[in-house]
Amino acid sequence: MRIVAFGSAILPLLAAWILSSRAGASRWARGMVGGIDALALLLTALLWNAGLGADLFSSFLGVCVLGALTFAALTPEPDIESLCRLHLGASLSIVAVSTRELLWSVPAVLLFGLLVRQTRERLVLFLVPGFAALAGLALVSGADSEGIGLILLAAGLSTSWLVVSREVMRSSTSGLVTRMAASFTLLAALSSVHLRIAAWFPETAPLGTIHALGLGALALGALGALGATRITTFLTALALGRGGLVLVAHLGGVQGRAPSLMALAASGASLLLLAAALDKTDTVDDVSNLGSVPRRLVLTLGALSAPSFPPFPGFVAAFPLSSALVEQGYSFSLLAVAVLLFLLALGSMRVVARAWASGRTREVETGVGLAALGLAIAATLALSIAPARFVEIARAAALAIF
Amino acid sequence: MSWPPALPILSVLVWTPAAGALLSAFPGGDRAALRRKVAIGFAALSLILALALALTFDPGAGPRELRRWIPALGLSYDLFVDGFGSILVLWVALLALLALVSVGSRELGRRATCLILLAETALLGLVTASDGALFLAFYGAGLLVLTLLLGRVKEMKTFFFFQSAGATLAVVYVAISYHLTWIQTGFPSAEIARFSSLVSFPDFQGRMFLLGAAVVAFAAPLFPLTSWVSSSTSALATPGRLLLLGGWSLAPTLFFARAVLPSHARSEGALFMMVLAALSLVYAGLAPRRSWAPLLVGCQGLVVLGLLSPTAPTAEGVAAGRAGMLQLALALSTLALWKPDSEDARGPAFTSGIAVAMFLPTSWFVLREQWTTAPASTALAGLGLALMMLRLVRTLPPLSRRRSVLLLPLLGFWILSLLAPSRFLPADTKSPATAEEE
Repeated sequence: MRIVAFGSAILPLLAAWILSSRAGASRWARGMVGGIDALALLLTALLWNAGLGADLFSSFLGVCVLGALTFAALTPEPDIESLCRLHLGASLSIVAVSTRELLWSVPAVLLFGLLVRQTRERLVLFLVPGFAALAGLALVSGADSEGIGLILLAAGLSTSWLVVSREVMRSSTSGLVTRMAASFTLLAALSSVHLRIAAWFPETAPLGTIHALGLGALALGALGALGATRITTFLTALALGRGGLVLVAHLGGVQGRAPSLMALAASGASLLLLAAALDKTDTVDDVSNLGSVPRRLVLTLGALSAPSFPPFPGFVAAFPLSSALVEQGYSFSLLAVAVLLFLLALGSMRVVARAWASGRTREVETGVGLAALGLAIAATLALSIAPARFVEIARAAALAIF
Repeated sequence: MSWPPALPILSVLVWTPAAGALLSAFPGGDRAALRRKVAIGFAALSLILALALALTFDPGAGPRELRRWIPALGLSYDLFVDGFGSILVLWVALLALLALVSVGSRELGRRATCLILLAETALLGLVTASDGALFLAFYGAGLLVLTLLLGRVKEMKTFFFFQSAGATLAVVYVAISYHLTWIQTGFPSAEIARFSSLVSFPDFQGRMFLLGAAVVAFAAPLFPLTSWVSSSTSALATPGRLLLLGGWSLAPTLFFARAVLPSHARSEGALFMMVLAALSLVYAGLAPRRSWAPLLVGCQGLVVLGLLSPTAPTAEGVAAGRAGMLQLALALSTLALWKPDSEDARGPAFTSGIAVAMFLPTSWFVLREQWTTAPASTALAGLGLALMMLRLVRTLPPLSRRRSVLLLPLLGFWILSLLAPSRFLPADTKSPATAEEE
């Protein structure tokens, strides 16, 4: 456990404590929480090569997690308990992305899953892969059946992420941004475990399992986005689709690590922007009522960066990612990914087209909020218009996996 | 004359309309006249810049702007125009200005004004981009802008389906070429000019050619992928129709001509593509409805046949193919001035004769070239072409006086394109006149 985990993981816990106190719902408490999250984000970003034990890989993922957390904290959220749970989960995610021990990271990811309010039936669906992952961890630790253990571990963790992601998005009490931030922070933690496993066990890494789960999630996401009528279903589908893409990117070997990190960061920006733009809409048809132009622009940016559509954020990662996949012999998978991303783009366009259809009476004039506008501008600049620095950081972070 | 290196003329040209779009978004709903003036002012400014670029163009030193965009990935912000590019930027700038002046300020809302100017930026970017990733970025932006210009959900979805299918295939094509460049040269690059020097096996070349051909088939489109055309052109007003038929119709064939053909001109898949193009012309000739789909499909078939002509690998063949692309875009723009699918469209007119005349030089060239190698498909294409012309002359109604005025610059540009054949030669080829002088 390194120092980055302590600093960045404890501050969200402090924020969660403030939120759980009696004054948690007051304006000053929300301001404090936003400030604490921003401070944690800043500290993690400043730990870059600070000689304090933090590596770039952990810092990169830590910044992704804390960025999502800060964004959620700065967005109006009526359900304080959900925000509190998100902070606890983010704290666990920071532990998972920072540690070099599977004995810490795997339980941290599974504990995060337990924080989500689930129905009894869903809890069983989560616990089964969760126990599979723990069994895999035991096998890997025993070093007797490393191959099978890694397969169980990868499959268990990925399946529990699929279950939790779906369940967290279905929650009706909290706002869309909080839900999406929870889904994304869990994805970041899962990615760190997968990438580390691939780096630590190059010979026995369960690439076939990751391959099948990644393509499966992407296919589920694409088909879900095409058929969704409710906004939560639509967002769940896009989250699954992006998660699938990130999983498939893990197949690219050493060359694929950097595009994988780029895809992860772009996913975070895209999904959070989309959630912010679609907040307080219930069905896909409700999008036709959105009147605010900035809100519709943010929606377009988020929706079209989800399938990495050019020139939106995430598009430039397509080139090194394709190259890495072809290099590793996954040419046909690359074609499948292209087809599924095309379907995801069609699903996204269903919503964008409604948002911009002319001749409609637009009733909802509420804007998208300063936090979302800030993130939209930052994402456009750093991931689309001038992404050189971001790409360099992602490459350096990818080389720092130990 | 060459431009001073300190002046990024190509960037200024490409981004001027986008700046105009931003500024024209400010005047509110009751200040439509001001908005229109701002938009026309910026479109005129970009036309002046394009004109200056075309007039001062030096075949030996075409302006180029090369900046490092993402050095770690080998992607560059690389803009360049050759002789053909200098004509195309002039055409795009003229087209956008015509689109803005073709309707009054009350008919052109704030959104449409902004989108027309943004479409101009995307098209200028497409014409000038020399890096594959940058080309695709402009391609995606243009596709989105034209989709939003449609304004109706159903039409937007249909248009986006076919166009984004083409765009996805184009991304796959460029990504594979990027990977090959990385493997064969040792460093990553998506520079389009490099693609032609890549070494690959014949069967792989055939697959890549078919991939590039599929981009054209979906996005241009070719028969039978035509179902979006009529609905899209019906949903658009005259400005949008001008941009779609005169500007966007160039995008997929431009990709084909610049990225695919130089690498895989003699591929086995060319015959399949020629048959598809000939069938497109037959469809255009036999289609019973007065609709845009057969016209556009027929024109694109003719363009593809021109690009695949037996002499295409030579400089003159390339020049002829390029000239055909532009002349057919001009003819389509001329036709875009008429209202499509109009039930009261009757009777021949002098102006419809002009539109048909614009097809003739390219048609003659294409049919003559193809006759020697593939007489059967040429006869088929010729039959389709003749029927299409006949239908055009019979069904197009006379234009109004205002629209006839708009026809004049198109006619002038067409004559210009006939008089300057050297401008269509590839960048590394000297014009015959220059060669003779030496």
